Amino acid sequence: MPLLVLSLFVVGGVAYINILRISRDDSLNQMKSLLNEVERHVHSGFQTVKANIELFSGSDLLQRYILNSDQEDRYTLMQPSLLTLFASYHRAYPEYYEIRVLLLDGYEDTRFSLEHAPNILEEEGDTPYFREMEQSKETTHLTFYRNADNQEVTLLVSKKLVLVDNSVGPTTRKPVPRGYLALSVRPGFIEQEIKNSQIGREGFIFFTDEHGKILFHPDPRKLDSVLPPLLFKKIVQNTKSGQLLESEYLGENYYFSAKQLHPKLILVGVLPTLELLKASDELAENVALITFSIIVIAGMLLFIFLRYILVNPIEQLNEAVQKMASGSLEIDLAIESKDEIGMLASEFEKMVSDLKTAQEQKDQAQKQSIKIQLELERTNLARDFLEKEKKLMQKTTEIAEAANRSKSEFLANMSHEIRTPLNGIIGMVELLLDTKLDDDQHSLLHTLNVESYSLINIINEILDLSKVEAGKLELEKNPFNLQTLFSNMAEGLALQAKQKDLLFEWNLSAGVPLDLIGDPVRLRQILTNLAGNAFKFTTKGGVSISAELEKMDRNEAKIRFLVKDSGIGIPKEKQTIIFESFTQADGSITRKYGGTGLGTTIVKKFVELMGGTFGLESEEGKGSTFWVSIPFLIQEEKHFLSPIVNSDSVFRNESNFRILLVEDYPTNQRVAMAHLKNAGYQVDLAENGHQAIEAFQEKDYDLILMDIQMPMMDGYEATKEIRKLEEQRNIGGLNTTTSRTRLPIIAMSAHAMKQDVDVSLENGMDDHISKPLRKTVFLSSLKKWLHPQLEHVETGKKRFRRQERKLEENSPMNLHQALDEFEGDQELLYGVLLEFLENVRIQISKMEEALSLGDTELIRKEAHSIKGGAANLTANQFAEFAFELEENGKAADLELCKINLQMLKSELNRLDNYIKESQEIKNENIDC
Amino acid sequence: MAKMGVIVFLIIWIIGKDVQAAQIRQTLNFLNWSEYIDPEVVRKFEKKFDVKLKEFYFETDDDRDDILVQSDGKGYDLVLASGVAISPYLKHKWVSPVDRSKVPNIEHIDSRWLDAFSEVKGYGIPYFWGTVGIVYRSDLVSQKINSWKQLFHPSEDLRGKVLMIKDYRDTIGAALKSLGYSLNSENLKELDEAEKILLAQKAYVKKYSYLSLSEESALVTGEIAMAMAYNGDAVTLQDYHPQIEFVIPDEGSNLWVDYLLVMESSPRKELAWEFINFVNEPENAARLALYLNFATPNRSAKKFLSSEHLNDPVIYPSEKILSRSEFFKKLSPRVIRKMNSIFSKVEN
Repeated sequence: MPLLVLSLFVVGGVAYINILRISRDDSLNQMKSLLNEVERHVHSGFQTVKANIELFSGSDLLQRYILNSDQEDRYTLMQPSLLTLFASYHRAYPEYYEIRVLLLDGYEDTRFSLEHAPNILEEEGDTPYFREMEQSKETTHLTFYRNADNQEVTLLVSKKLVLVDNSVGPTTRKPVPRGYLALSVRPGFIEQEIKNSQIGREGFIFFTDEHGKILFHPDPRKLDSVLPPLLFKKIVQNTKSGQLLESEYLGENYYFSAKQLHPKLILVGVLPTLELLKASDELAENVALITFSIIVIAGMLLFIFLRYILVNPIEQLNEAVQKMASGSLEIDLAIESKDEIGMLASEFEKMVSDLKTAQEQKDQAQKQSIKIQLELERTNLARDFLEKEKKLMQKTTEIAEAANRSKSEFLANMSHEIRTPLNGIIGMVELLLDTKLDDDQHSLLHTLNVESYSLINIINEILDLSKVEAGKLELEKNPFNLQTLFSNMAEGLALQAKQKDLLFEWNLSAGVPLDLIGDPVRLRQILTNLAGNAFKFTTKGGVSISAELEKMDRNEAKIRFLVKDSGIGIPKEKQTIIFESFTQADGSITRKYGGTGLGTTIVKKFVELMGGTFGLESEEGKGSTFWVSIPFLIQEEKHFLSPIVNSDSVFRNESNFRILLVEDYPTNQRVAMAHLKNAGYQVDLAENGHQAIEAFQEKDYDLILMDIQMPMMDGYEATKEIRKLEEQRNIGGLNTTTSRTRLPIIAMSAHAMKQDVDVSLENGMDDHISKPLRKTVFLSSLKKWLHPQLEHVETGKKRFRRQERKLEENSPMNLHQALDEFEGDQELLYGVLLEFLENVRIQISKMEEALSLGDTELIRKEAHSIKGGAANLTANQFAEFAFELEENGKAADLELCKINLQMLKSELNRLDNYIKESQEIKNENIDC
Repeated sequence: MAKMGVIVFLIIWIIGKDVQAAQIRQTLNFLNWSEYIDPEVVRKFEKKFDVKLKEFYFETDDDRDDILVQSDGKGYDLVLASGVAISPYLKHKWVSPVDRSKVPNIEHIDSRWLDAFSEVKGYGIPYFWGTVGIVYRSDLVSQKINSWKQLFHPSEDLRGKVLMIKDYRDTIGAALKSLGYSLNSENLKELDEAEKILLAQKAYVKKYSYLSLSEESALVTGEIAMAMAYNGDAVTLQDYHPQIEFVIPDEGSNLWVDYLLVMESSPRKELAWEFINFVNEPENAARLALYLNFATPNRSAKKFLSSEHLNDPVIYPSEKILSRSEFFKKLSPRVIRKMNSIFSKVEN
């Protein structure tokens, strides 16, 4: 044992000495290789910048810029783009914080910099760095200097731009220096090297300039301090020798190693000698520690060995006995020795195995009983399984139903998607029909038109059907006139008949109520579908539609519609199939007569939805009669707006009026609706000409505001259509719903010139408002047309005419002129005038409030609109006052506003009196 | 399905016939701002002379200068330029002098605008004149705006919601005006002060750019609450939102005039003069004015203009405002250099 310990100590001592030596060499080598690596990185950084400046100086824009010797031209036309170019370089390399163009004399011609520090110098010609640049033999020059603007140590990279001016004649073919491109770079990559470089634990690197001033150092306090000249001299020598230098600095001993990276940049690596000594001390400690621990470990091993031979077996036996006492029989003694303990162990084991057998028998008995339990469980499982199957079946059926529903929903939702492009195609075709086409093209297009319409019809039918199936079809409850419906329908049907050389007639039996409430559009679809089918299957004779009263209660009437034809008839066996989906009597009929048979299904579905019944009587070869019987509500009272013809009051409650706004552009819709709703009108919106016509047919309006420019059908077209329909109504004497014979239609257009107004009038409009809508003008236009006393239509537009100032009479307005403008309609003129007065009064009180709040802006706005209104009424003097006030408002002059508001008020009173007086005089004249 | 195919094919075939015809016509190349002409007027011109007018767009005045420098003034027949930008073009001999005999409608133009920029007299025909001001959303800006100072010192809630024009003379000019100086100042100290103001404003400015003139404009959506803008553009924007207001600040503003130039290098000068003559037909000039909402220099057009248009104080500012506004003057090279440097710091 003592021998062991002694030898261990010897080994430790030898190791100590060697390791010490090796570690010292290691640290020093580490320093050397680190310096090499840093040198490589720094040089690579230099290369990158040089490569970049090479690239930048190749820029076409830069070259053209520097070749332009006209300073004014350069600065005005080219410098902005050059600065933008430099900005993009800076964005790519943010460390290039200053990018400049210097002229040959050092003048800073262009400087891009986002630094907030002001530019100290513009004439850089005298700076040492510039002289260096000038004198350098290479075109690319790299140096370090302290930037006077921000006092930062900056890496300056410059490129002398030596160019040939190709635009001038052959005399200047030789390349000549024109100026410099200079990049001021933040040398972040050098600082990064310092951070990343560790020599041992306490070693580091730093950089100095060629005079020993510290430029970059891990300790910021050391920056700008200068190394002692003697030390620095030794360091410089060391850069050439490559050896390790040991020297004293500020009381401590260090190892130095240095490299010259650039004439102005020296890299120095430092390692304190103390660190190395400390390192070896540590080593000694380590060796001692190791030796001691070996001794301890050896002792422990011995102890363990003894234990294994003696102590362990006895313990095991003890454990086994205890185990058995507590009931366990799984005992395995791993004792194999041939001594007394071994014998004891084997006796013990025999006893244990006997006990085990007894135990096993008991276990068997238990197993049997468990088996029986399992059987019982299995039958329970089977029952659960059946339950689950039932539930699954239920779910499947639900899914199937949902799928069917969603298919219909999908179709219903897709209707818009499908119809829109088709409408587009139809619209395009119609537009094309309007262009210059030759006969071939025209007839082709006509076919196209017809085909696309029939396509649309088919799609409409499919979509309607799926709408119904998806439960998405809602019936309308609108008032309508049966006679009107029939006569409208009759036109188209008569045409169809004519095409096939067949007869067509319709009649309404006496006693059938005509004014009903229901869904006229769908009713019409039903009838035209049935009639269409009738035409399809008839070759001679004709088709007739009739309506008769089946039953009538207090307010409900059941009406039976019959569509009779003298066609091919339907055999009895096939009659039930007819109303099922998608089939005709048999396949041959489809081939001979065409069609999808959808129509009858739609009829069936609609009728069912309406709560009606349908049926058919037919004999093969003798023709068919299809009938549908549908209940309708009878209109109680005639639904029309009777104007309160009150000759005293000029105003009527606005909410009695219903206006149709036809406008496709969302913003314009909003603006107009806002004005209208604020004024209290009921407003409906149509987005194009087609919708406008539909709306016109379905509801009664007091006025239509018609935008001109709209897709598909513009305002002119729509107006023409509406006027046509209106005429038909009037002629038929069926226009019982209003007492008006002509619905005012006002055009809205951004085109405000005389020709545009004339075109509107020619197309059947009654008036023309220009966009953008100015609220007061707009609303007063409306009021004019909604006036119930208006019986016969004004066709002129009140155009604003600038008046020469004729101050012959000192009257607030020129009534003769105004009357002229209103084309002699006195009642209208007075109505509008009185309304204007009332409006102005309200506006004045608003302005007074604004005055107390100091809100001159509001005053300006109100005055502006008063001015416009007054001018329109030729109350020019009044308008002048309003104009003054407007100017005051604009100038935010509260004092003047006050004064002029007063004046306006008094002028208003004068105007008011003047108007009332002249009215009285007129009335007196009439009486006489 | 087959039906649709037939329909589509027929449509394409018919249209195709027309396209062939179009390719033989002459083309006039016009370098202009986008959205600065009425397509209706263009169509009428194309129809009348059986030519095609092809427009090329520039995004800023600097952009236009750059385009012309790169092409050395070639490739365009007509160019739209503001009065102050033209004199460098004359130095390069890019512009053809006005031949009055080819543009008889020149008699309709008010001479005040023809002569506004003395260095370029006789080289351009005025197109529109106008001012610059502040356009803003009265519902998003808490105070009423009447001074440039409010644009340069916006309230905190407007951070990132301000837009400034991308032009060095307009922005620096406005900053100078806000300090009470002339926008043609050559005083370096005054320019330094203007620089400080613009740099301080930077944090509130979302972008240095122009508002688009449609429903999607950032001012309409509310992304921008206050912006520097040209007066006619502000009127156009007012159509899209009821709470858009425009003001020419109390300190006064810049009075600009845009000119149409015929390029010396153009092989179609006759046609270019025809175009300029055409847009100065009083009716056409009126159409353009109503469409673009700017003030036309064409006297005779006024009889076709609506009273709404003529009375709009935004389009035709009052004498008081005009008296406080200035035309841009040509500046000395050193000052231009300084301004370039200032603007480069501001916009980057």
